[in-house]
Amino acid sequence: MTSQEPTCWSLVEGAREGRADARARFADAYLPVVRAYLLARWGRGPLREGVDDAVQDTFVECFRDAGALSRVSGGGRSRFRTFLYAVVRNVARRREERWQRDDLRRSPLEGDGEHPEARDARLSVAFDRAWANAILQRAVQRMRADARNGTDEARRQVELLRLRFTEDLPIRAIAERWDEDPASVHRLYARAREGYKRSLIVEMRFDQPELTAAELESACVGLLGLVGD
Amino acid sequence: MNLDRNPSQSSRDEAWDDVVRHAFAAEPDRAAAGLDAFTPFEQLPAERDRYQIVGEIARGGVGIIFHARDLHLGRDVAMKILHARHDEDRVVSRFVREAQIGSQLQHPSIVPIYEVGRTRDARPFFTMKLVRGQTLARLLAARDALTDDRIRHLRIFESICQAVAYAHDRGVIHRDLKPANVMIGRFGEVQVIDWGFAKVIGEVETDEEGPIETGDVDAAAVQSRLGGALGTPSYMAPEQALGDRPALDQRTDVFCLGGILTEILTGQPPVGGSSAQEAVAHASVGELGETTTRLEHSEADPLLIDLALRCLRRHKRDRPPDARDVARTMTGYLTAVEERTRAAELAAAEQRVRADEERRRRRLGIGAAASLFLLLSFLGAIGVAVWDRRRTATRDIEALLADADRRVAAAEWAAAARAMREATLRGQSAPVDATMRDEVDARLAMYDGVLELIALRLRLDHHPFETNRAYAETFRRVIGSEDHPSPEQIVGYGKGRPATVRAQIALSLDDWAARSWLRLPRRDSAEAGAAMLGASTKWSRLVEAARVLDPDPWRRRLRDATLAGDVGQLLTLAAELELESRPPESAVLLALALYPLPEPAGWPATLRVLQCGFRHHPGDFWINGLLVMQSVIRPQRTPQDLDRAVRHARILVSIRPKSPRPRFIHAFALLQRWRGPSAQPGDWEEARQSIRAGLSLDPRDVVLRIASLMMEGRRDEARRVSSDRLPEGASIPQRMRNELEAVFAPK
Repeated sequence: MTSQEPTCWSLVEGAREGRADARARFADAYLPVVRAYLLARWGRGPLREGVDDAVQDTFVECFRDAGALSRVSGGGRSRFRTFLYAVVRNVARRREERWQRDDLRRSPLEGDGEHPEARDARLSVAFDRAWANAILQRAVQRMRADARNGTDEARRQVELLRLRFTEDLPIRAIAERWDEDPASVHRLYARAREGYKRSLIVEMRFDQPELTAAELESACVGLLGLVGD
Repeated sequence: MNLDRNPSQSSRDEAWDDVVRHAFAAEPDRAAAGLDAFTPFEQLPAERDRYQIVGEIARGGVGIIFHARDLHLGRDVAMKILHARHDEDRVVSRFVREAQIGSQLQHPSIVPIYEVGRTRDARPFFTMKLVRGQTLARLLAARDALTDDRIRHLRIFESICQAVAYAHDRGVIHRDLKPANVMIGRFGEVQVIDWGFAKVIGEVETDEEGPIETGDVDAAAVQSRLGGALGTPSYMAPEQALGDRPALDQRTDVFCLGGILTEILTGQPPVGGSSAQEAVAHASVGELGETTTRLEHSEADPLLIDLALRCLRRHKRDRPPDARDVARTMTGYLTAVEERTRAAELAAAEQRVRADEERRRRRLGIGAAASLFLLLSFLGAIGVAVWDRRRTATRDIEALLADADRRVAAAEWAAAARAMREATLRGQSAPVDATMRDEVDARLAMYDGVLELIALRLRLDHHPFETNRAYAETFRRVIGSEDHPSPEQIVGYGKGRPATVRAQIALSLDDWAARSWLRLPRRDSAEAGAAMLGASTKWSRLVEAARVLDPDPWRRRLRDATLAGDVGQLLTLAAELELESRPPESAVLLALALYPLPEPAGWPATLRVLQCGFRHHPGDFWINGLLVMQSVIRPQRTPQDLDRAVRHARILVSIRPKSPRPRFIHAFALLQRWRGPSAQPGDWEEARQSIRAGLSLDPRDVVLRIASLMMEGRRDEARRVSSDRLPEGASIPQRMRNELEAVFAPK
């Protein structure tokens, strides 16, 4: 990792200093996670309309001068995900309490009837799943962006992964479609897999810069455990 | 998964295969994963070639409803797609069943189903009519007082009853009737939606009817946990709350109709509780709490209170048998109200005629009985004629005023203006009484100003240097102030006016402020550009006033971001796809707020906002106008920018063929391209013809005259004209004079 590469923590610092690019990048990276958590929490219920406002509240809480991020010290930096989870959960709870105070008459809140601990556990899993999915997708987008500005080979790699897993075509069918030898498509696939791996490691390092190379690779494979596969 | 393992190369590859598979296989389903804010719409699943997804409307337990474009028929539709996680046969067949039931119900107040099919990833979907508008729940919640628009809400309720009665006639029950499942369209049309719980009476219950486990992100999971009860607890009939599905029939819907009527009359649904479980518990024993008291104190007509209470009876046998019965009662009530109103008008008219006769008789000092008889006969004949004309005119004007009210509420401003104009004319020419004239005047005072502001906003194709004066003068006229109106005066004017009117005043304030930003120079950095907006006290006061008048959350975020100079927030707003569902003013406002931001931050966001606005409002003058202007004035403009500018300039001319200014903009864009490497043969000639056409529309237009003289090579004459004051008293700024010379001079 070069010292110029941004990490979640450099964005945190930038965001706290009020740098617009840091805030925007921070939102890019974590908005989907925060939003997915809130959707999981509120589903189709009456608070769903307030999801975007709650997302904003979460970021405001993170960015404001004496906000939650300012209370994160170096010692707690390996637990960024836990920290963000706590912030969004508190924001959601505050909104639910306000809603309960204001009006009890409409459709019920998501989770009514569920044991609070079970609900917390379910939502925690939903948050981790969203977080893992977000990293996996950021890596896909990174690979796509690199391919757009890269070589023919890079673009073919992305297309191959799309055909293989999005369209669910076997390698043999892809080779036929491309009029190529299946063995060479297999080799291209191996290189594409390596390409995605590199992108994912970059994204993983962004979130967990403290990990070693080996730990990063393990953590990447471990994402599947979080997404439930 | 064990993170510490040390797998062999082969097993490591397999693990990575799984990771890659998940990442790419999950990609089209990002919306379901909560990542839709970052998904270009075209990547979402849709039937190949036919439908283009343009945005998400709502997300339910079983499916997601998208706003889609039917490319074959060129119309917008709502498309409901089954969640990817539901692939069990029973869920799929229930989803298809919903479409089948919906397609068999053909009624003006039931959303028609167009087509059933499968997406490219084999998920079932169906398309239906896209209803633009708001739910009855929102409409009711927006009332300042419970009695506001009561007759309108009761007419809506009658339409709901008619639609449900039609379904009952066909043996279908809805099972989740509530204000949130009724859409009121832009033209006042009523649509009962969400037939996902609907059931054909008499069909054998199967597993398909049971609750669907909808996973983490769905509120329907609550329902499945609540003893199999389907529906919304606050509106549930006792048999529904008990989960006794075989017992559900038309009278279950009748209970829900009673719930809707109760909310119209009291502002509260019939069943309450501090939690869903408590509400279901109350519903299951028919415990209505204070609903009866609330209804009795609602000051509503006793007939309506009685109807609501009958619908809400605990035992089915005590309720009206079906929605047809409820609809009949409502129709009878509304007819009686109309007749009572008419009778009251007639009585008042008779009373007035009698009073007139009495006054005249006194004035004439009639003595002789014979003369009195003759005179009374004569006056009587006249009185009847006058009374009849008055009655007709009064009824016409009332209808026009009611129409204007409806149009204002639906934001149909042109139609509202027409109705008001006609009501005013009728009030002036027909023999109506003073009360009716006062009514017309009061309505004019209420709406006329805002209609004038809207008209200004729509036709304001002025150059920015003319905008400020045009707005100041119009606001002065509307408010009646003697000098430049202050934001406080404008806020005061908006108080007490309907929410739609206040929102329109706010949009005009936004527009005034935002167009004035066009006069500000671009800054070196995004922060400086945004800070400039916030620091411009004059304009920020207008935005602050708009903020007070208009509570719309999205526009409030935009205004806050502008006032705070928050670049990140502005760019976030620009990146949010919800812009798709907003009126054109929002796209214009956001694009103008982004204007002072320099490249590279500002431009892609501005272009994205405007193109998104154009996709949804292709006939909007200002969206097209800004696409031209922003593309042309961009410092690092490309040939594509200039092509885009010309394309949208041509659209501008077609939108306002009788306005001279679009001709100028058209010529301006053409000549900018003509001067660059991407010049097209014919650019110069097309520009010349456009200027000529503009001058034939308004020979006094100074800017067009300067452009014409410059193109003819008569530079000195053009300079003389450009130094003249405009007829309105303003003068052309030096910067613009230089620009005109640079662009319109021959090469």
